[in-house]
Amino acid sequence: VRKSGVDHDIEDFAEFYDRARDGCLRAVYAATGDRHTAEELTAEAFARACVSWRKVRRHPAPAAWVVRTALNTHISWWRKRRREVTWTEGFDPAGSDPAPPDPRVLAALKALPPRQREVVALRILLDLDTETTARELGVSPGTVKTHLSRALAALRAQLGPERNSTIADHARHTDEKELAR
Amino acid sequence: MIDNDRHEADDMNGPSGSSADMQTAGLLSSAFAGVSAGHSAERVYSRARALRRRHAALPALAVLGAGAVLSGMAFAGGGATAPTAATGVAPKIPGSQRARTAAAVPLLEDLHVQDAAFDISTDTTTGVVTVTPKQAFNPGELQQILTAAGIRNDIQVFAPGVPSPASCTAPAGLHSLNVAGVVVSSPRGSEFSFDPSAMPPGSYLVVEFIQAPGASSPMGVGVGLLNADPHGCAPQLASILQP
Repeated sequence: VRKSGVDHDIEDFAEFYDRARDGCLRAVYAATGDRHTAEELTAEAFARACVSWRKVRRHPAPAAWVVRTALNTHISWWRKRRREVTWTEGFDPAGSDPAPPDPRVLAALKALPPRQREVVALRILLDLDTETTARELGVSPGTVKTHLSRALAALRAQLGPERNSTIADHARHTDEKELAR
Repeated sequence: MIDNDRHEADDMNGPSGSSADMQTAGLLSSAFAGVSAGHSAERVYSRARALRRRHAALPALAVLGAGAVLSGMAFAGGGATAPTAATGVAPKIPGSQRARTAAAVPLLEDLHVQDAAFDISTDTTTGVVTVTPKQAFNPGELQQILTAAGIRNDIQVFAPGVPSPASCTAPAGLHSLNVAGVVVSSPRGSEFSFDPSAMPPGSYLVVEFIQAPGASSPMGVGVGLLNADPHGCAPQLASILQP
């Protein structure tokens, strides 16, 4: 049975969505520092990717397009809400996060400048290469390397070698819990 | 996980730095390994359908906007249509019925969205109600305290992405007001206050909680101000926040 172009597009997008959604969420989560915001932004970005799938599928890295769109949307939302207060103080988001990353890692990421966080999100969590990351962020590859190097140095300094083993234990424990579910 | 072949050593600072950087990068990847998307594909498709519908409606809205501008100019300039406009009857333009329908849906332009539930307290001398972040969440209690403070309010709780019930029709003429002066952020940025004395007569404070089904606490709280009682039909935050 021959499928129509629309059916093929839907299947193609569904396959991409299944493959990329977790990676995109992790990248957006790392860049924004908030699980719920990341979920909302990623869902919105995937919806936009779905609408423009014929264009997005030709993108060299469709997942990067989704993350970039999510982060742009975040800026747009922030502009709308910038007169609001921030209510992160005294609020523990881990209570509603099913598999939260180690809070020290989140805190160390939040301490990075936004651009460094974005580079970390795209290079490490989305596993993009330097060239693609540079293209997505609209900067030179050299700038990406510099940001990544500084970000990793800052994270290393924040987390420290003795804490790293504890974080690795936490990650292992989280993986085990995920497998058990 | 990180791909060693693609993450060349020149991304890192020297041979020793490279190894340490790789370790840090690996730790970051591991830290987020347990994070998986909670939103369903159906939600994405639903939103995509809404976006497509909106894209399809944009040309018609542009025509309506141009029509509104033209009729406003004619009224201001005292042109041939001025007497009609002055009597309060809008000049007949194509699609005007749709324009009136769209205008009946209020937009909370000064919506405040927070990422926590809250605790509340009232200053007995000023009447100002202050809310501070807390995990505990009780919309009924909030409504009671706001009402006791003289703040006419409408509290709603809904799941993200769920559209308004079809039977819910907002009263005609309902529109948003500026919350400046009514909702005041604290200098510490961790709480805000509602000042009932700053509320325009007849206005309603709308507080909307976004809470996923089965979740123990809301993921966001929106605050806006309407010119009249929305009869429980205040616009849903999720649809307003869509850019």
